[in-house]
Amino acid sequence: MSIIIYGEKERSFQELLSAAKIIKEKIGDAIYAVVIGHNISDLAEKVASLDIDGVYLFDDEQFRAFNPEIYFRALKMIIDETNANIVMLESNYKTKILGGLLASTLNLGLIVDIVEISFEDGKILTKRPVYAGKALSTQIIEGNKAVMTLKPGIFSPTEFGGKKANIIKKSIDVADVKMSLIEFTPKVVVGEIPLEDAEVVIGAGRGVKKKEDLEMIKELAKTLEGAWGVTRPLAADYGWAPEWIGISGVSIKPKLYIAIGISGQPQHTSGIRGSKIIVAINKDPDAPIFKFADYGIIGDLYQILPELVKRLKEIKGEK
Amino acid sequence: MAKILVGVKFSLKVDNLIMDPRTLEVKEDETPKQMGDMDKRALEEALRIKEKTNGEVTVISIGPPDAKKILMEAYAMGADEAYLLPVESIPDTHVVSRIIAEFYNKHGPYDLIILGASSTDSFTSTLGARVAGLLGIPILPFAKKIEIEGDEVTIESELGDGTYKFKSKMPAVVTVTLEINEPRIPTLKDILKAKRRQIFEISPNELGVDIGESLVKISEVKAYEEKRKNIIFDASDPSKIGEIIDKLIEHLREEGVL
Ligand SMILES: Cc1cc2nc3c(=O)[nH]c(=O)nc-3n(C[C@H](O)[C@H](O)[C@H](O)COP(=O)(O)OP(=O)(O)OC[C@H]3O[C@@H](n4cnc5c(N)ncnc54)[C@H](O)[C@@H]3O)c2cc1C
Ligand SMILES: Nc1ncnc2c1ncn2[C@@H]1O[C@H](COP(=O)(O)O)[C@@H](O)[C@H]1O
Repeated sequence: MSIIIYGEKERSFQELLSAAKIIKEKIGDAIYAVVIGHNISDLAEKVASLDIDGVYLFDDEQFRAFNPEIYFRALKMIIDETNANIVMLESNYKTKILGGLLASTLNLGLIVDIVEISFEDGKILTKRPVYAGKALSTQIIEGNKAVMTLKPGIFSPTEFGGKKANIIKKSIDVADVKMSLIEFTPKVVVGEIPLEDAEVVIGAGRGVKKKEDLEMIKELAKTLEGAWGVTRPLAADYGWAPEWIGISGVSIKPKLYIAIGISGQPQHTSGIRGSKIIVAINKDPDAPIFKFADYGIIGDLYQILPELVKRLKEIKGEK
Repeated sequence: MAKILVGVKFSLKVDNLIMDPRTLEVKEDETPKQMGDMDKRALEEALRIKEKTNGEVTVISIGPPDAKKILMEAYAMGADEAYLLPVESIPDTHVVSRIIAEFYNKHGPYDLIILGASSTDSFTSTLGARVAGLLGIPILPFAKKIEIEGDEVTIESELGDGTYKFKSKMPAVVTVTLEINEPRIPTLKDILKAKRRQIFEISPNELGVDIGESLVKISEVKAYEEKRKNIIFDASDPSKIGEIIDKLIEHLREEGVL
């Protein structure tokens, strides 16, 4: 029984492989990676140097940006060819769609956002967060046939090195594709640390009253050499930032998260669960965020922030 | 004249989860429920398309008898027809997608199926793609904007690494996110009128779907235990701020995060 893994970045393949090995050890015999994109032979080379049985590479202009129908066809081709029963994808918007298409057309089980994999009585047992991240659901895959999407940042990455696997070039015909991508505008992030990778994240919520006041948040982030992010309303409703932290946005896992003027609704807190230490600053003593915090300060952020930044700058200067 | 099928889920209110305090087992039966947040926007978007194209909106929900409540709400908002596909408890997305696809085959065809991008409670974000896969029609996912022109649908969506604009011929499945619109609030008159409307019922069996056929079994759902330190300082008196910040910094240094 073979296992397919598919991600977009080096790191995704490293994490997926660790998870795939848990399954291979019990019931699998080969793990193949699929790499899809345009001008990405470097990524394929890198993935081939993981401890893996083969890499299938789709490298063509038609894969320049995501089109569900085209990417689905590519993956399906490899699943058919390798007779794979287990397909593991890095969890994100695109792979939820690919997972849905693959599971329904190949009649496979489907579990998304997996954070734990083990075996029980010879069956694959997985855990995933549900109810806006308030609960954990344990699910058993019948027949050990499934598409699984894995939350990034959970499974420890496999190291590169070791024997080099074969890279097999593939292509598909897209003449009859029904759906077209007519425009793609990549997100530009300039000179800021991406939220997902930051060791310190400062989060701003609706307690921050004006866009200009975000400068205080950015100043604190800069002082701590971290990134800054916001809750959904600040991004989606006010347009103050391109993305937000939470279940429908980015999940973060810094060493330190400081939530400022954030009430702590489950849709937000589900995205910060991976943080080592959480600090909350809120003027409402009953704000749910305090239940979620290691340290909290009840008070007005407009009074606390300037003081906090001042003290931290002094300390950084001391060093 | 666009014919549109909308799926709405009788979803748990995740802000009001009821759980056994000892075992942390979530009590789904006792937790209050409502129409999903994105599902409501799917319905709103369908109604707007209907109003523009002189179309027709059919709403379905696979759920327990209580789910009639959200179908009434759909009538109050302006749906033309509402169907309950009664089940004891809501099955997994494999079965739900089979039911929606079979409903489409027997009652359709529809030009568009509009669903929420994600349900409020299980949040798998996969149902749209599953239905599209079963029917062999395109999936246009996570739309924050939909445009219909002739027999074509165009959407705009954010998929993490940028903004995408997709286009396809109809029929197609579209899923919508929270940004797409602000759902209408029905008037009291609409609500009263909706009470007289009939909610049609078809059992999944009649559609040829066995609700026991799911490939994934849920063995338990347990609330997370929040294991945070909860050390809270009160600085509502501003004169205390300096001292409290010093304490906080000391703690953070001890934790090794500063
Ligand atoms: C399907 C769905 C998905 C969602 N996904 C996400 C998501 O991914 N991420 C997300 O963040 N949200 C998400 N939301 C929205 C979420 O439910 C909350 O509405 C949102 O997180 C609240 O943001 P907030 O904490 O900034 O605002 P509020 O809830 O309004 O809280 C503001 C807080 O600021 C405090 N405050 C005000 N003034 C001050 C002051 N001067 N000093 C100190 N404190 C002050 C208040 O006491 C309050 O606690 C989603 C909602 C839905 C329905
Ligand atoms: N039981 C159901 N009945 C009708 N529609 C549903 C049901 N479950 C999910 N949906 C629709 O599918 C969307 C996505 O659900 P999910 O893939 O589970 O996140 C929801 O927003 C609803 O529009």
